[in-house]
Amino acid sequence: MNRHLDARVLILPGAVLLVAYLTIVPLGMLVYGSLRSGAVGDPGATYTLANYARAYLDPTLYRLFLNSIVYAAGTCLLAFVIGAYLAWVTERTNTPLRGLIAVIALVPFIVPGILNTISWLLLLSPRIGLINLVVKNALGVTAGPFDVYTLAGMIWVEATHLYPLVFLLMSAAFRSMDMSLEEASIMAGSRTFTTLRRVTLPLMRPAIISTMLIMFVRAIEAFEVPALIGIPAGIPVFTSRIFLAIHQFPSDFGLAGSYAITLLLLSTVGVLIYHRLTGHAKRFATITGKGYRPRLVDLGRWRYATCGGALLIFAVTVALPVLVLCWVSVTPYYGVPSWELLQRATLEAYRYVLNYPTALVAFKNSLYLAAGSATAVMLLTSVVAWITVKSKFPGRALLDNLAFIPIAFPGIVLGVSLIWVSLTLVPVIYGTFWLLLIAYITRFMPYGIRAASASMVQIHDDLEEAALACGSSWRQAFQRIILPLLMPGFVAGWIYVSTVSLRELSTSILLYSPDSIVLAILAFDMWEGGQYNYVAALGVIMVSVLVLMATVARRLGARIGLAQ
Amino acid sequence: MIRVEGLRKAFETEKSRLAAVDGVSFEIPDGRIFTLLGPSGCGKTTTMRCIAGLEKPEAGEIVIGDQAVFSSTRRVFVPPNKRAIGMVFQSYAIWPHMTVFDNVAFPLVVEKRPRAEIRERVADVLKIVGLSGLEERSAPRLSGGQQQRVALARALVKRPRVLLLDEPLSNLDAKLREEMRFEIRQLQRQLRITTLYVTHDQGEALALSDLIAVMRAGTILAVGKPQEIYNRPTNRFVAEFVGLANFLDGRVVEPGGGVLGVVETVGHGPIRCTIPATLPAGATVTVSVRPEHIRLFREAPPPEAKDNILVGSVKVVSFMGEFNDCQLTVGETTFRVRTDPFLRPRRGEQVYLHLDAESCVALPREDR
Repeated sequence: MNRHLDARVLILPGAVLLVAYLTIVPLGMLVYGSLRSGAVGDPGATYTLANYARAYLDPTLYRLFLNSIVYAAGTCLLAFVIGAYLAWVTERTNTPLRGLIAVIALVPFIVPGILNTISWLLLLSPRIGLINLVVKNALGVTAGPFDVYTLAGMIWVEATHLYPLVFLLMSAAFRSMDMSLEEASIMAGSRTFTTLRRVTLPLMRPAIISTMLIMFVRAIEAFEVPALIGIPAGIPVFTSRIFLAIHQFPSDFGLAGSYAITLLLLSTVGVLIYHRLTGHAKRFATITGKGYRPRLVDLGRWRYATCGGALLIFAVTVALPVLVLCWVSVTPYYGVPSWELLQRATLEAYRYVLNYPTALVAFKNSLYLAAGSATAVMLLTSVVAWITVKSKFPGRALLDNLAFIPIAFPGIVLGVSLIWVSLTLVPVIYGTFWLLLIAYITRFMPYGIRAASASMVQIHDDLEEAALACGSSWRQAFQRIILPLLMPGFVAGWIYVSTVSLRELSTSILLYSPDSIVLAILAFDMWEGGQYNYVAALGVIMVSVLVLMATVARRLGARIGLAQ
Repeated sequence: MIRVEGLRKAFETEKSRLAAVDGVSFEIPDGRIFTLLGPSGCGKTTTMRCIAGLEKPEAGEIVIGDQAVFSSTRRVFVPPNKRAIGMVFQSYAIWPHMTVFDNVAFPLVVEKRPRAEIRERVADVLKIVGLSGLEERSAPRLSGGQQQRVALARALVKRPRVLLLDEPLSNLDAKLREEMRFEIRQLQRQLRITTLYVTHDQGEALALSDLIAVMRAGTILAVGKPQEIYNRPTNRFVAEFVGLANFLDGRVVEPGGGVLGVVETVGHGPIRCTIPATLPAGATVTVSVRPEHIRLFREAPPPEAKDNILVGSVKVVSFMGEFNDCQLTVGETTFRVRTDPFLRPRRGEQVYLHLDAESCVALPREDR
């Protein structure tokens, strides 16, 4: 009799089971592997704690720990300040050029981590960095002013890469806020800045905290910067230590596993803090059914200053890295920008990359993986966010934690874990596109959850209950009311997941085969091979495609979203 | 008809269990408008949400028409979308991503009605609530009153058996609130739809209702027609919450058996008043008298009004337009009295108060 009830009975437990499978299996495999004396599947291996003993009795452990925390916290703070500033400027003020600012703010996010890191190496390396070379030539000094091979350098490079995520999440949060709350503050006599500090920021606390948490764990699990800068600089963090453990011969999977467990504990602490701080999420419901119209803050003459600030940020974090890539991609050999070298510019590198068959396979795989994993992740996490935010099911907090577990997986460790999983449970998918898809869905589910639940928290319960009172089933209410109202967060999350999929390197590098190669791996191979010009040309092509994609997606988001 | 029997609902907080609805029973006859009236936190909204199916009670029975939609003994729980109800939320809950038409059409769309029928019925109901021509307006661009009408139209479009209104007027300005009060009343009469109305505003309750139930702390204290609730309150809370009242403590000396008797008050002598049959001689009581049931005289009153005369002095006079609102000091008690605007007592002036015996009600004394 009750078809709609069945939909709910199928969808909810289905989502829970899927999340459980995607997270618990790799986690279990990781714990299991860290406790084995040999490789998983090795019949001679026994249970042992030797891996942990080696990891924790290492006298340099405290330095590893300190480096990781300072690196992650520094990146998180710097990226948050930049991203939140840009989001506020574009969503809430009358700063000129804010439409343009909103588009450009996404560019560094789109530049894959491997390319961003390479760009900054080409700019700030004490030996070959173009900025350092230019300064040395101009001033006739022997040492350039910048050294990227430091902890500060690593934080800088990672933050310039991550701030667009803050921008996306905070924009969505700003956009869905009830303006009358701010207006009430202004009517109460407070100035713009006081309102921002006393009303806007406290109201946005769930969004701010969830964003910061994402930044912290994203930084602590980052791989490209620690690998390409941290290792040569002798600044180890957890991810690079794990990478080295795997890439030495023979691989030390057990040691990598025990470091990964440490990372898992760190992020679990983060989740617990998160839950403690946002436990009473209902207080913050700020989309109400009373209709809201975003209101812009009039900055007066200060609007030129805010615009200038945004443009300065872009000049340094967008224009410089992109220009250095463009420059290197068209020059026949590596050198400081000069008129003579420009006259010898050539498109030879592009011709090579576009005729290279492996590159075409990589383009196709990357695009399918991005669209597939983003859609799957956001649909799944919207349902999960409803369960964790709106429902009263027992164990919903556990589900939230469960879906968040993959964030603790450095990509490279998830790769190791999934090798073990696919070889022992489903050998046919090893090395295929599908294994990569599963890996991406698992890996990016936490980002989807954060985007979906931050938006879900802001949808007032009345809006869903009104649909039920109107005779709609739960599925109809979810599809017609919750999902559309969730759209700004959904689109923000979708864009994020698809672009991180497109630049994903650290998991793929252990799971790919020639048939399932992706763009980031191709770039990595070319960089390792010293083919600076080819990697730059590939990078420029990737960035152009990605900018186009993000622009289309953002247009789409603006149309189906609620922004007016 | 709606029948509610022994309804109980508690909410778990971190430390304790709070009984929001604690054994509520009432019945709403067909085509009538029934109001749950009480201060915030008294359980009136929770009761309504239980009827809507948005909360699941722990115990009791709820019958809508001839269908038991909830019964704890028979283990029946009909989900909200299977109950023939229309509901207006306090926040209106107008979906901001939809137009007026989409909002109102939603209940029919989820029933998968044919398009032509949907268009026709939405047009009809928008005409009833006076919103014709605004179909394509997007919901956030509506005024408060318009949003309220959209919410009403959306609740009515399905032609539900019962209409639930959760403080529907509390977000409107005073003028509009009064206008909508009449409109809702008229609409309800016209459609003859059984209606449950929840409010904390006694004026609204008196103006709108066929029956009023006054609630406090999860229980119903009194049920009756507006006139009964106002003129014959059965306890001090009802008298105080519905309208204004002056109270005099005393003891019954001459039982009334439901009509007039005499109470010897503390400090103000004997007062003739209506005494319920339940209060015998010697019972400690509180006499309640409304401000408009006291007449003021500047000179000694005529002999026919000899009983129930008190002497006091004027403390404050507020001009309210259609009446004067006075505070008088009588002995140690302060009285609120309404006088007609032509009688302008001066501050400090000595006046005589005549308490209309029919309108004074003795209530059982509550230990406070």
